[in-house]
Amino acid sequence: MDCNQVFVSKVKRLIVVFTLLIAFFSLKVDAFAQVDSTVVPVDSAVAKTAEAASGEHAQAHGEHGEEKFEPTKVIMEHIADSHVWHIVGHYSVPLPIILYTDKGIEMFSSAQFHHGEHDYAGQYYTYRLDDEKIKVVGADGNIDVVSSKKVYDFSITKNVAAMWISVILLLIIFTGVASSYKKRVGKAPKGLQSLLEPIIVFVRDDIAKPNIGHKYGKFMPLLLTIFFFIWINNLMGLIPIFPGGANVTGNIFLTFVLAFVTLIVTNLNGNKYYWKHILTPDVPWWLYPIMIPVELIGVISKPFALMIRLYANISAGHIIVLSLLALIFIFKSIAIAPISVAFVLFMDVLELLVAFLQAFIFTMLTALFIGTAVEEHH
Amino acid sequence: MENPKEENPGKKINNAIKYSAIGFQMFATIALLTFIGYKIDQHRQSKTNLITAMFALAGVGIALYQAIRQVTRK
Repeated sequence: MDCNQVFVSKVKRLIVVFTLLIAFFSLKVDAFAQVDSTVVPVDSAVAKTAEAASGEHAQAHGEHGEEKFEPTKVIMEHIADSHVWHIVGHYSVPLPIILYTDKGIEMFSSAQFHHGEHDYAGQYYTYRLDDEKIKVVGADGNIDVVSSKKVYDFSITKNVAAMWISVILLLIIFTGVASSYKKRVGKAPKGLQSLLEPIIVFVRDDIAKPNIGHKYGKFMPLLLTIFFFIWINNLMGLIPIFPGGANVTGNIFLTFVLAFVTLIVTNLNGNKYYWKHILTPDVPWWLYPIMIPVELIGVISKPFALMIRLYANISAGHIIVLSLLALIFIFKSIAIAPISVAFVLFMDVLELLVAFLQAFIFTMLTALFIGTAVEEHH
Repeated sequence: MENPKEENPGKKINNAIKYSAIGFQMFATIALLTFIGYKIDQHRQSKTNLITAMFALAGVGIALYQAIRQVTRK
């Protein structure tokens, strides 16, 4: 726990620099290898497989195999939300699309778009998947901007589905633990119980009590929910295959909602001393026109910082891992693969730490803000 | 803050996190005010982005004020 955020971000930067350095040296070796006539066939064969692999990868996302590999595009596609959940190779799970239009609600499967290659004629409009956004197609075959603005997308996207999986997991884990507490009153914890008890006690003793004070009990459910929800979503994001892989906590809308909950809870529980600090600060009265807006900005900027921090940290972790893997396809050489995989493994271990740390920091700061709102005057 | 020797290690981590939050908060404050200034400039269709600049500067001032107030709070 002596690793603060500064340390983690420094390590990340070092890793990126080091990877680029290694990649540079690998490139040199490759160039020399091509001079050697015996190596050339092997090398080109490897390059072909790499190309084939990248082509296959691109096709799975509804692109054309001949297209040049664009790392930024591929990485951003993986980071962003999606209407299909890619499983492996050519297999992906279509997710339901729910649209609220000015004429009524429309529901259909995202398989109707055939990975964005076909338009779908719905009950009210014809829809097209344009960069994962659903647009209305007019009679002339082009995107109708005016009608598109009237369509609100309430689809079950990849992130929503991943979040539900996390919620179901949380429910299974915690109802199990709760029932074992009921059954084993006065006995030592057993199984999952003994894994979770120290963490719950940690949230209570190291986060809630020192920051909130004696009124901590009221906020424990909220703090525990935030902590375990962020943590499990961070961990699920680290799993590269099906049930994980979605970038849930690295989505600014989700972190916005979490930070908004913090904002609401803090201000609803603010006592008179908290509001006195904001509305009548300790300055001469003629400074009030300046100071009150300043204090109000402070109220908003605190949860805003929470939102940006979680989003930036988790997205950065995903981008680094994907960039390391993209190196293989950029150099079109399988020789890069061992280095990439080694670094990805190292990053994943570091991300395990970051996953816990970010959940901890978010919960800690929420407790801190609540603490300043409920503290008695001294 | 008076006698740091008596603070337990848990408290030190909490303080480190508290202070690391200040950077993000300063960023948020400056960004928010710059955005407001930018919107005003856009609305007035002014030739120079004077209000954006002034709001950004005010944002820096407010961010500094908030940071100083937070580190000096007992």
